Amino acid sequence: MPASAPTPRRFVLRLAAWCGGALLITAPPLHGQAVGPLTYEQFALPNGLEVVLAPDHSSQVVGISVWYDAGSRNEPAAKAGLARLFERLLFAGTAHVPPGGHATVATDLGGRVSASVDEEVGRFTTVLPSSRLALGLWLEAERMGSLAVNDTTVAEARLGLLDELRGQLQNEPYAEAISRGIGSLYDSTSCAGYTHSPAGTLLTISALATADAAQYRSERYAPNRARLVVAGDLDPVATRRLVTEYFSGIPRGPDAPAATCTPSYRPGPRELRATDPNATSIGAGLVYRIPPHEHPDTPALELLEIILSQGSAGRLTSELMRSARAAYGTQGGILGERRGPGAFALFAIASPGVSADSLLGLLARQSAWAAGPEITETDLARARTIYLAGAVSGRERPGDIAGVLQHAATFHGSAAAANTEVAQAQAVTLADLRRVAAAWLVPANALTLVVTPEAAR
Amino acid sequence: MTAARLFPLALLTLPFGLRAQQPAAEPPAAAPVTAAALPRAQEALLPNGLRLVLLEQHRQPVVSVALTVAAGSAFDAEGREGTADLLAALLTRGGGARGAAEVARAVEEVGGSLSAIADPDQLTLQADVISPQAALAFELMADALLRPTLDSAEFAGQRDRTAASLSQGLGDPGTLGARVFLIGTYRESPYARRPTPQSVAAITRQDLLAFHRARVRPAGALLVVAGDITLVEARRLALRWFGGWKGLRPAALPAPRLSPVPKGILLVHAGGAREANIVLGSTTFAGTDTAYYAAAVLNRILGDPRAGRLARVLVSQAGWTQAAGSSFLRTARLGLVQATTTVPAEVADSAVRVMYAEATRLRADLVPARELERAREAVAGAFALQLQTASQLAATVSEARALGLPTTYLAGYRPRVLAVTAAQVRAVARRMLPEAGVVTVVVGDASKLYDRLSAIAPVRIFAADGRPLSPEQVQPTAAAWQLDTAPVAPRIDSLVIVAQGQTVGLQVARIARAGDSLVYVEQTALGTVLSQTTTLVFEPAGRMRSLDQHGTVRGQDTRIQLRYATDRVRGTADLATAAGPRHVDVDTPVPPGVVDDNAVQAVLPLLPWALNRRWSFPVFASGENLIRTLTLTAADITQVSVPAGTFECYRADLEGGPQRVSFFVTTAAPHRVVRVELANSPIVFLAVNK
Repeated sequence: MPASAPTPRRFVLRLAAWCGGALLITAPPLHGQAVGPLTYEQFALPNGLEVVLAPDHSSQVVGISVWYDAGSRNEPAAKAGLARLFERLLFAGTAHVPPGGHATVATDLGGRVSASVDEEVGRFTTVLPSSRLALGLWLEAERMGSLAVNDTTVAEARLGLLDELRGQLQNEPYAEAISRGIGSLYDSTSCAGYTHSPAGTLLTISALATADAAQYRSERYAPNRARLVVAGDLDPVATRRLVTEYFSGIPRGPDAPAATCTPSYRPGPRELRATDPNATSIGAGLVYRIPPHEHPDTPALELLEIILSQGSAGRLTSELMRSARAAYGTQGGILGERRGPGAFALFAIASPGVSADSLLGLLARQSAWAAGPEITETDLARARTIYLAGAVSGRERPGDIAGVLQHAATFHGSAAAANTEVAQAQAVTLADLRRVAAAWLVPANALTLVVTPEAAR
Repeated sequence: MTAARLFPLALLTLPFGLRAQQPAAEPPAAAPVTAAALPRAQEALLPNGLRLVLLEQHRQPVVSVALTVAAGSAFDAEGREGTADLLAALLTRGGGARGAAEVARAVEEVGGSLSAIADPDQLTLQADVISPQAALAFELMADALLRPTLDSAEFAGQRDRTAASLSQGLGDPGTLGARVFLIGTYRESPYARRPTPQSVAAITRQDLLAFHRARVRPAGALLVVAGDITLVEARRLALRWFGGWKGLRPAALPAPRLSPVPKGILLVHAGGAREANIVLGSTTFAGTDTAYYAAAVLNRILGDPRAGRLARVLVSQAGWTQAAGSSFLRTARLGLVQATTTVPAEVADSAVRVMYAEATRLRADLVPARELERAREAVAGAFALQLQTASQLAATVSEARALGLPTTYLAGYRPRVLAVTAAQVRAVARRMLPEAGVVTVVVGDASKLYDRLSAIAPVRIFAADGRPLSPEQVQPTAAAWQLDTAPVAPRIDSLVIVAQGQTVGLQVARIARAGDSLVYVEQTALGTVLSQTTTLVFEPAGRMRSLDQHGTVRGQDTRIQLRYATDRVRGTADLATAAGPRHVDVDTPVPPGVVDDNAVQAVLPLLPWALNRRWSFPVFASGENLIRTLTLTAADITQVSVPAGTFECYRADLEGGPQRVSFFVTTAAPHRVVRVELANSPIVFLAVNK
């Protein structure tokens, strides 16, 4: 989610944490004229591992990305944090790699690693000089095949997760309330996977046992729940041979039921009021329910995100901060990509003397504006250009290209969507924007969030 | 390298529960590295002398444009150091018909970026856009570089912010050490020109214009374009936007002629510092020198923050520090290598010896094959990752060309690094870390460090502002505990109590005279935790007559009433403790000159202040009913900014009690406490009244 100018940075980070790595990947899409096409080939191993290879020899770099269908929507709320534990466990060592080796080996070669687990998936990316492609694949096979899940590694991961959460609770104003707000959008019986934060709670994390992690690994960190995408300076034939050699021997995991969610949209206005000891000003937000990422309205929502909340020309900045001087920080947009129903938030931090109600009124007016006659072709054109620039810069590095293909396969059912997504966004019309804003960004579909500093009570 | 060596112990130390089938236990080896297949550089020389270099690549619709002029910080005029940095910062804040906000808006509207930065040699502007916006990128760059607004308000704001942050930096030992090292190494070279708060404050808008006129010229400038654009189009845009730019090639940097490095250690005095910041290293060679590849490998071997030799000996083995490393600066005329760490003052001499020993080892011995292999691969790999985007390509080419390297340098970089031999590393170590000629800078408390470091080499001491100091000047000297109330005039002092940016309390002291006594009444309120009034009465020579304190602490009433006679203190103390109220009857012999522990801050203005004075004095702690000896040292002189204003202050460290406290006492008489810091506590007291 993009941030407007003076929004406190840690607030951004905290929201990003809620949404996992999804935000870090410019979700995008593509198309013939608008962006350069990504060429790739795909195959599957008998153990169920999906593989996508996308050769691009413009640099001497490869991006190796493995996404596991292991997001927090698969964990019961009582074990919130279990999925996130694997962000750390995947660096805890394997049969032939010492603890931490999966990070240090890569950085010692001049490479980079990243890991994130959100509601949907666990994302693990290693970027290496292409001369080390074989080693990078071997490292991924190691952790898919012999991850060290034992009392020591689980205890360390648990501690790390607790520290992270404690830091967030202590230092990041509004985060806890926003987190609760997003979780409360959907019903806990019909949509259990989305009612708790992947970050977990101090209580649920503390209670996670080695056996929980061992079971989660065998169900989720298995080849039949994973997709390997390798992009960059690679030879498809040789790479396919290496992948087959390293990954074929890893046994298939048990079949596990997919998490389901039956959303109910527009249940009528709801409200959540909270106090926050870390907040020094009033914060207020509107959180709208939106459909799954695959829904045809998503491209329009992505452009609305840009129009409403991106940059100094975004409506939140220009109206709430510059024009009304009612807020000193604003933020808005889609809170992560989901295969299930999601959320679109508009949030503002009040300037001194401004009430929560007047902030909420201003925020609601921006949503209504987007559905009305005042939004123009100029707004649309600006959003298209900014969207395109993001899509282009997200397709230059092999690590990012691997992410784009993963995104397409995970959220659009096929890697091919990586080459049509941008064109779809570029085809959005002004009528689409108005229709989509009127469908989703309306009071009957909104959760109203008000956070007051604890001292103010 | 056989990659198995990466995990020499893995098989022995990691008996994890394995699954039935495993991939190979041996990590695979590296594939051969070939020269990078980068776009061929296409060049054109414009009539005004501007050189265009194009790296055409139509993979994605993106264009990056980098323009480099010889207007780096080495060209700053003396006394106006900081000019190039300031100009770079202002170029993107308005140019042509656009003001700062319009420029930002124009860049944002197309999802692009525009930046400017000055290094020692060059000033570089770079713009990244999607290719349909290439013309806009050229227009914004031309406006910024050739027609900068240099708006007066933007200029003044940027100058003042820069000066303030420099002045803050001088209080930071790491920043100070880096600065002194740079000046000490580059000495007579223009590369030694570093901005100071004074030099930046002296820069006028006229200075910027003059610098711009003298240095921002097309002849010798370099325009690097990378990405989705043809030579015809790039040349057309370059002519359209930069064709009218006129000017002869500006004067080049004179070849550096440095006098021999004076032997010894430069010790920068930071009175009271517990740690020593160490920087040592030397100048290296010109940007085109082929020794660069071996130097980069050497730098990795010596100073990688995790795997380097310095980290191994100083962090892992000795455990003296969290961080030790080295870095390497490449400039057109003369580079620099520096090794840095921060250690407790007690081991500063040992750390310097260890660092010298590592340099000696590199000069004497061949680096073992495995270590060399890993370092080469890390350096070569990092370079591969530096060339993934059009923007990175444009930046790297323009950097290389500015150093005087050919564009083919990029493609050949990795094979050349991977071919570096142990003998080449040793040879370059002899050049870069010569036995005589290494500059060593230590920032720390010279009173603790002078003797230790003198055992290694001759030591010269300087103050943070560059003034030479003698060892005597930094040595705290015992002074007699003599108080004098005469200079103190009646007044009221208010200090706010602040924790983590929040005001949590207030302390107000009223100083009055009653007969020959000085009466000091202090009221302190700290949230709901504490509220108390303390009345102290002193004789003219500062001897205590009485103390009367009453108030509440965490909801419990407290009261202390004490009368001080020449050799005894008598009275009662009713105290609030965690275990509940406690009553103490006091009748205790006291030495002459005793001060009540509630009166320490009150007597500070009565002392004869001078830098490095150290007083030991007896303090009566009524809560514990005992006497302890405290030490107060005027350890440093520093500028202190508090709500009441900015004051030159002694930093006086109080030690020997339950908590170390630093008082900041104005150097100007009548002395006044304007800031109080408690060690290991977020709480500070700040003077608010003039």
